Amino acid sequence: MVENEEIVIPGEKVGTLEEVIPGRGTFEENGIVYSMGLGKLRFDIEEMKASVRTLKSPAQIRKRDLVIAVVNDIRNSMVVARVVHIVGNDRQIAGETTASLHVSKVSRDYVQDIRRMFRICDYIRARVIQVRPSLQVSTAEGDLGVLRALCMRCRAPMTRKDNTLKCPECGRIETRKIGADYGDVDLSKL
Amino acid sequence: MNKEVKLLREDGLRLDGRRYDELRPIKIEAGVLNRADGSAYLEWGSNKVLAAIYGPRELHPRHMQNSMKAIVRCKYSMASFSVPDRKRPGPDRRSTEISKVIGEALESVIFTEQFPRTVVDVFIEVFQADAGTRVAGLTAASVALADAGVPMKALITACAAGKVEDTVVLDLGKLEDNAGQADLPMAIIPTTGEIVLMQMDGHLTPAEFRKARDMAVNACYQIYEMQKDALKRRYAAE
Repeated sequence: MVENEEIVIPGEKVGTLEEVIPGRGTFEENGIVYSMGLGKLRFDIEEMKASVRTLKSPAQIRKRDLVIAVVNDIRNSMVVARVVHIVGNDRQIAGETTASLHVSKVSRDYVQDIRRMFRICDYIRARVIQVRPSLQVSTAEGDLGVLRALCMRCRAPMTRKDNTLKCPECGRIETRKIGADYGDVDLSKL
Repeated sequence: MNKEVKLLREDGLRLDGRRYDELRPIKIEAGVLNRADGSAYLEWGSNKVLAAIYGPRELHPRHMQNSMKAIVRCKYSMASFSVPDRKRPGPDRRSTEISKVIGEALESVIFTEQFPRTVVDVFIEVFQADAGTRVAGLTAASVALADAGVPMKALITACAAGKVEDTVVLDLGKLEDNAGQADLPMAIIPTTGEIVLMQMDGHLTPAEFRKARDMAVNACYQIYEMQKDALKRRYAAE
């Protein structure tokens, strides 16, 4: 890969189709390859591909992304959650945000009842395992799981006590698939 | 149109000392707002305009979403202190129309089909108005979109021409706009020459129209260089 120092803007000619293959951040029209964003032009000599590395780009969910989501619905074999944040990206999400989490992807261990792992309004940290045709996430990694949960009885934020959660208001004990950084994430900044 | 106001001087120059084909001084700065996804500040003569971009982001209410593409939602607004007499804040007939034409012009260059079910919000705030705010707003919004990293076919550049005292002039000032005979704001895609916005107020003969159009288009290429320069400065600063 050879990096050209040239900064290009949207619509700027990058080359012709005889010279280069349009790569990421470029588009082709009538045999001419143009940049579709503000960025640095890169030429891959081996593949004869031109691409533009942009300074900023819309926050689109990609496979393997870590995301923070809010549980919307719980069914017998799956959880429906709305992705609210892509970890490491401050922009609002561009595109589909409704994700499903199948019971088989909740934990590496066998899960008897998914309702003992998640509850509605829980904030969870999950890994994207599929984007198309539908968004699917997984928490089957050691540190992934619930970041904040509310007490089922009084709706107070629960605190971690060993492998369970305890309500500081009413003392109720609940189980969850608890994330490694439960209670440490400032969700108000998402 | 008021014929009694003298808009051209004895020496053929305009009241502010410009030639008939001269632009007002323009200053463009990209990336001025921290919280916006993209932004640009533009000074065009005495016009002061700020444009901010948010998105593409999920559109609510959901029934407004288009499952095939993003929608571009533009809001042009003039501050109450932007004109000598206080302007009643909030949307009015004029700003609704300008928002619509600017949004449609911008939509023509954005790859909306890459972001189905989303919205690109464009906010244009005019802090000081001195004729030509729609072209200033559109020029700023185009830079702000590029700053936001929204995939685009090209930038859009806009400029107005008009007629005062039977002379076709470029980039009308406030007095020329109010007392002149015609105003022709235009926006083009400089890389293709495609016209994406054209409105006309007043009367021009076909020959005058062609002259005004050519002057505005030529001026757009000058402004395009300034837009490019602002974006490249922005990239270099990061």
